[in-house]
Amino acid sequence: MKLAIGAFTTKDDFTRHVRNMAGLGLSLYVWGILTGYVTNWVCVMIALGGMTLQFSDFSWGRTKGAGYFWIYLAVQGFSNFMPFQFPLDAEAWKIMANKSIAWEFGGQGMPLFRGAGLLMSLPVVLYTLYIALRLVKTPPDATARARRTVTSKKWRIFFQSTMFGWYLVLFASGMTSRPVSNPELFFWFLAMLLGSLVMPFFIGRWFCGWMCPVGVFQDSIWRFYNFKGLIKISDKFKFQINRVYVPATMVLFIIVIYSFERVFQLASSAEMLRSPDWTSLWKPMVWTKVLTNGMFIGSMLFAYRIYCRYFCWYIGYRVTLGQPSLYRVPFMTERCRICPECKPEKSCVMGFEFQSVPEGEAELSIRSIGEVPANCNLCYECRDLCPHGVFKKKIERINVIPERCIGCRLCELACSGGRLGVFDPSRSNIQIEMEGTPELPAPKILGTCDGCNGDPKCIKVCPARVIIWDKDEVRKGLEPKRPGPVLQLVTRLNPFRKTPPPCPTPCAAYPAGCPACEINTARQAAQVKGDAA
Amino acid sequence: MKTMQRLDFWTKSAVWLELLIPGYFFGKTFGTSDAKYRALDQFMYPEAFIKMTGFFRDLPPHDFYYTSRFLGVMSGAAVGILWALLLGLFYKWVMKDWAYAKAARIGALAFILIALLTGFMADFFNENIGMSLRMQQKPPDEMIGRCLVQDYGGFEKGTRITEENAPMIAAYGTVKTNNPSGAQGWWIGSIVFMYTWFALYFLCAWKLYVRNKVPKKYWFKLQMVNFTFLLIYLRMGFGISSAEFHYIVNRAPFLFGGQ
Repeated sequence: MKLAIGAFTTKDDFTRHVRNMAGLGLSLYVWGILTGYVTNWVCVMIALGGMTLQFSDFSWGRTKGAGYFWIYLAVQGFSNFMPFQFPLDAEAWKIMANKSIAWEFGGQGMPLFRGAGLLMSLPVVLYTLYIALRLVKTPPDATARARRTVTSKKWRIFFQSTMFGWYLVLFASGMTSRPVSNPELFFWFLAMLLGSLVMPFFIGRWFCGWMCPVGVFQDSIWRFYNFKGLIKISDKFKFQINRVYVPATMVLFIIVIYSFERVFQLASSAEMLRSPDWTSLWKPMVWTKVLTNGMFIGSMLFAYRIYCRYFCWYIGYRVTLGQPSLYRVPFMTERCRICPECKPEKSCVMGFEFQSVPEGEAELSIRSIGEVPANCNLCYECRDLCPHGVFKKKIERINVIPERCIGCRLCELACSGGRLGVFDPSRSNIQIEMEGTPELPAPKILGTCDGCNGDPKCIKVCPARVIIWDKDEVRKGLEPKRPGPVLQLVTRLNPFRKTPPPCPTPCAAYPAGCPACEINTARQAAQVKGDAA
Repeated sequence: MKTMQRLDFWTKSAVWLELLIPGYFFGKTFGTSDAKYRALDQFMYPEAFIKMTGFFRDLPPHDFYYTSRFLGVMSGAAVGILWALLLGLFYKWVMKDWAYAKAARIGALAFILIALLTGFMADFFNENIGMSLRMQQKPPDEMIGRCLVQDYGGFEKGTRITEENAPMIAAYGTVKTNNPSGAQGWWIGSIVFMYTWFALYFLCAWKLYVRNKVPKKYWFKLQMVNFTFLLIYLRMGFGISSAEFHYIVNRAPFLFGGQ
């Protein structure tokens, strides 16, 4: 087999390697937990490899599943071999010092021979490096690069990775510490305090989409394998998600739990796994936990995030409290074109139907209110996928510089022809009107313009470069980059500057203004000289 | 565009569930203010509510702890829901052309911030500062029968130390003695937090009105209803006054023989 070390040519090629890595990662993980023998620096390498895969998502599709495997693996190694545990009490510290680490067997790890961990890890470390090298050589996907909305996804993956890693460290530490000081419980305490009691009033279920480890787990595995579920959710459920099931979850779980025990008497999963107390199974908190975990596993039959939609007992708080939240993802109804294949609707993990209007409740539908419901977990998939910018308050539209227009009306023809297949200027999204005395052509962009899904025809045909679109990389390359306000101030204050300050006009074509422009500094100086003479 | 079929029964159920949950949040603390926590809860919550829920809770005979707690929470929830329904009545009075259920739902959902603050102040300020770990201490003999707080500014409220609540108060003093400066910071923090929360309450209520298509002409009146209910709640004894705070933080450690 020939080993290619050049750039990835297709997405499938890359995905195949990622899946191989996932399989290897899983085998190493099993090896690690059985023997407790993964060296620390290997963990660092693995974590780096995992993070590389995480962030390669922007160019080459969904790779998060493999990435999380690697991060999990690294954390497992850390928790087994380093005193990287939550030093809450002396007893836990003593356990760490004694290297009672392999929690599966309640004692020391079982190294087969010196260097066994390194030997085992070497192929996967090399494989990681191999893929990383090829990724570095691979140029980013131009279309993905042009979509600036990817920024939100990048931040989401960063948050998810960080929180997931931290949670796993705490979880693994919890397996070896005493019940009184359980670090995993500390995580859920913070999740409860910030994610469920404070943040919903500001940003709704942001925690679920960006930080919750259970959600990350589902996202990573299910999206990676594109698993749609064995059982289809009916429309009735989808419609009623926000109105019935979430409050019902609240009533069934939280109220019942609190009726018997205080919230902060939670038992953590790690604690229960380490030393299950079979005599306390009758306690509401315990059986509720068993029930929710059972529902989590059962929900996998439907699709990912079904547990987050209906059953997670935290959502009762987050959704109900998020009803008066200050921020929600906007839905700009006037931009929605009711596409037959609505990508955001298909990809929405919460099952929202953006094009539906419930009978009798039209005034409270998504389209009417202009916001998505409180159940949204703000993952921003819809924002990234919608080509018309429906989920953004402000979008980058094409713009015009009216002074340059020569009135050829080619843009009108291109717009109607490109979109509708007929040359009908009256149905064009850009209209040339004659204004002023003497009459000069003034292009006007109508509100219905959506930029032709990123490929506007009018820009291509305009001979005078009247129409501008900031997303157009070519045009950006042609035009000089306009300095920001700080650089402008520094330039202005610098007494040794050699270049004149940038022209304040919107076109920014020349540093000191166009020769024909009224505010051209050289022209102004010449005029002053002439007046004086 | 698709049109979804509405499910009348479920939608109406949802409205009432959303009305129930803020009420539950609001009342559960009063319901769980049993003998163990009542001494502390009385510093923060209206005594009338605590007594009312206690009365309902003790109506059916019970000995078991969990039964007592369950009944307490349920009676507290009942009181909370009554409060939410009362608030809804005023909302309906302002928005005359709205159905009562819809108006009450908006009022209750807006009120959920205050309800939550009420519900979780007890968790954070009573239990998490280590109260439950010191429950078993015996009260000092000289504490029995003394009155801890008699007069503290505008709010007439006081806790007579009895044989029943003295262990709790003694424990409270012990905690403060352990770390008076930390305790002081904790209470200052709690007061700042509380009043910031009130500001958020009005902001969130405004967003809720926008979201539920409440006409603009009602917004100010509804906020005034919110404000009035908040004032009534404060006057009934919600929160801790500055004098009360001063008394507890500064005197309690010395009272119990601390530094």
